[in-house]
Amino acid sequence: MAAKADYDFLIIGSGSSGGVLAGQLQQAGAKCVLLEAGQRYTAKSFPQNEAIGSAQLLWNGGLDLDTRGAMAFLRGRCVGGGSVVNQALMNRLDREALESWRAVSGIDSFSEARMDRWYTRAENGLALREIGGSDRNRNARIFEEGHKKHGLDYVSLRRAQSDCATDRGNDCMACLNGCHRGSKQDMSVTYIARGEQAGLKIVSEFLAERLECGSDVVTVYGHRGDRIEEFSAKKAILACGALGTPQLLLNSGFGERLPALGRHFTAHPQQMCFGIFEERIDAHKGAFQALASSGPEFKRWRFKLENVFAPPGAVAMIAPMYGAELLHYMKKYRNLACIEVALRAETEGTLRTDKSGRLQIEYSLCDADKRRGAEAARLVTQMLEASGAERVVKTWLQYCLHLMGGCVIGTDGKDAVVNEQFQVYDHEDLYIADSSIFPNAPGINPALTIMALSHQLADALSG
Amino acid sequence: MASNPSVSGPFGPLEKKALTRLGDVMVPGGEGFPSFSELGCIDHVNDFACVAPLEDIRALSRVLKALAIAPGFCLRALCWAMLNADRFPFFLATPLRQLNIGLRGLIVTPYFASLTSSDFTGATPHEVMDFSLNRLRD
Repeated sequence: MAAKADYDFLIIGSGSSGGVLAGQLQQAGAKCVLLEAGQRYTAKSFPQNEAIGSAQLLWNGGLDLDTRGAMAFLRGRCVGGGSVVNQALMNRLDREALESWRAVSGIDSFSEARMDRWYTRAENGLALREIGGSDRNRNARIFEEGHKKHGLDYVSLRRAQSDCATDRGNDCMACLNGCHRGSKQDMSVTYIARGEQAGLKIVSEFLAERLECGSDVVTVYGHRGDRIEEFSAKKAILACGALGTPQLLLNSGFGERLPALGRHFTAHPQQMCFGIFEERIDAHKGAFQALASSGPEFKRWRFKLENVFAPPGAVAMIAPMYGAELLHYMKKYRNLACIEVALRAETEGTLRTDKSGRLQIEYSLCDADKRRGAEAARLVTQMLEASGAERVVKTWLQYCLHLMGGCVIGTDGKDAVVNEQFQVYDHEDLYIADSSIFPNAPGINPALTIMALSHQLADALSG
Repeated sequence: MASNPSVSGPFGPLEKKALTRLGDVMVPGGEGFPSFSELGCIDHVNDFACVAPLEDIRALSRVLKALAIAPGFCLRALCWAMLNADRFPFFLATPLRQLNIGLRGLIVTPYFASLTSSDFTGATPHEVMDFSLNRLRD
């Protein structure tokens, strides 16, 4: 155990939670160190090839799998974390989602009125833009047509971006490997950059492996390259996300005192459906994501649809074919349109670690979620066919980008890991405000809510 | 895209031979596309393998060493079985799905991301698809 605390706060993980907390606390006068397992990139150094990008910017190359090999979980591994590789969609949770959280967690602050202050702070920390009608490419138009023909509603997406220059021909899909323009408002160009100006210390390529809590000091041990290093602070904030945060706590032996650790893991399982059209769609051009479904029907059905696309390597990876059939399909890449299904899954999974410390993700969709997924895929098929698709291809692999739970927040330490003050039960110097504390899957993009909760914690910690 | 491939890494000649043979089943070439072996993206395989968990790579290495000498029909049967893993009993379905994801991640994704050997001179998959992304910086 290190003898003394070198910092006021050590923050492990630099995504939407760790980035906000490190930036805000440092600017408030605290001495912070931000630890990140991945490398640090700039707009000029992000990998341009998609396969190299996946290998360098995602944990395990983007191929974290559940124990059955049926679901892939994607999470960012670089300074800025998931905010570098996500679509930067920024939505508040609606009343229904917050009421559900309040009911499950017993925490009254989950209400639109009481969350407004924190959402506003998060929104003020970024440049936000609504993707306007003029930015909608042919893929988005097909999405519109499909919804109109089915009498269903849709809305424009709000994105954290400053100047994507799609009107001048920039193709935003490139920013899935990090934004080459510095337009996407990822943590590295916003909160972390502001924190660094105030003296924030950033340590990249440090893999946190074990945590120890003393009476007035918290120490994290890990590897940086071949070297074992340790960092100590008065308080620690875990911000490694819904897989990394529970894994670190489990590997540090916290499971014995935290019975809920690793439980209530949730996600928004996603599946892409591609329509093959006779004409060119060019879904990869311009603002490649612009619209999402909306309205009471989708709430009732517990899924939503988004117009989105993917680069060739990813499209081929999840195509349910190989050989000559795959080549024939990929030859029509520019003729593909895509609508993605995202489930507000009821399924809860469990996270464990094995003897080597490796995470075991047990997550198998319940029958109701499988049924919803099939219904959603049927609806999307009808939409694409109604717009002229010759054939619709559903991907063989489901994947999850929104990972939540595993250290859920609640008023009962027997069924929660974190209390209303974001403190880990029985460990008053340990805090979590990342998506691992989400009480359930809200069915809404989680990034802004992670940031809002992190603002709330930053405010409390900076007095 | 040709880049400096890693000269060493978790996979040696035998594993690369198996991956190349499997690659030519998954991506045989045609319709203007080069085959997996013609494109030469096997040169990059260790760049991807090194980010996967070591125990996964060791397990995959054992499978690949066996596949390197397996008859061609076995490779074709394996590709079919991997894609139809759900038809198999649980104890087979799980490793087949894991293998499918791992192998597609090492073969299909790099191929369609247009990673080439340094001496490849033909049309890349991106060129065959007429795919490019415009990256405006200013």
